[in-house]
Amino acid sequence: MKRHKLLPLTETMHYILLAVREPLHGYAIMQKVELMSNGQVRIAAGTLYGAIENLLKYHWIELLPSEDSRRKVYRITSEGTDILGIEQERLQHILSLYGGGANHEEV
Amino acid sequence: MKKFKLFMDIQKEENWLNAMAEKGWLCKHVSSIGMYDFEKTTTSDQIIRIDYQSFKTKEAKSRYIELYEEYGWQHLGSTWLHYWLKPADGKDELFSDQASQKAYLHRLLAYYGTMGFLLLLITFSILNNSSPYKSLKEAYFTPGLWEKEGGQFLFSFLFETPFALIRFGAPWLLLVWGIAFAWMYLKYLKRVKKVE
Repeated sequence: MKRHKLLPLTETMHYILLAVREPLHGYAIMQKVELMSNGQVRIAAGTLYGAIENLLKYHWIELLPSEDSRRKVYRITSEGTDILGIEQERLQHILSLYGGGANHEEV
Repeated sequence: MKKFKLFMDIQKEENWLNAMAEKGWLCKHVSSIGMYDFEKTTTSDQIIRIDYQSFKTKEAKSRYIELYEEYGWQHLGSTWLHYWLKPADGKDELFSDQASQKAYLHRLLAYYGTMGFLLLLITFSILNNSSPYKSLKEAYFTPGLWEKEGGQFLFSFLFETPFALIRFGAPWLLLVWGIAFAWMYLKYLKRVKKVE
């Protein structure tokens, strides 16, 4: 199977997808990512906007209807959750290689 | 203070606006034709950033403006570019990772490339097809102008001159403009390669 264009996820995309497992509006995504990354990842406005548009385009996140039309609220979709699953497997495999290559057959 | 200044390179434009701000002239508005409106100010440490986006829908544009405003950016106006102002606080960049920085440069490249190509295409098709642009004399359209004499000639000649100059000069202006865009394209191509 051919890998999706956005995979593997960039650090920014990865954090955003993890953050919107609960509904969040734009600026709150940035704040949550900053917290989740212990202040390491601070997403700038243009970067967040581009990422959101990209994620919307592939239906990995969705816009939730909200009373306050000035504040767009986003949440991950089931497709987005699947993508996180694929990334989790990939990263777990890489982590297992750190441990001495248990999953790695001799060449 | 209103000021009009043409820039090809938006990095230079941004630097100029920020240099003006440092001198106490803060740009408070940019009109759709690119007229800057400056105000004398004592508040220092303001930062201006120029952004280029292409929106597929109206909603995408309103999402864009809203999100930047949530970050504290003030929209100064837009031409084909968007102008943003914010008090400097160390988080003054519009892009925080390489992928988005690259995407931004690629959008600019597409713009400069398309404009350059179109302008040069128009220029060459004009220069190929018609005669008024090859000699100034042929750019005078007044019937029988060169047979007229004395005061009548002078009047008709002077009357037609501005139009003739525009007819004659326009394609050459377009050519220069097209080359300028092509030049910018090459300049930004180098910048993209640097980021990569």
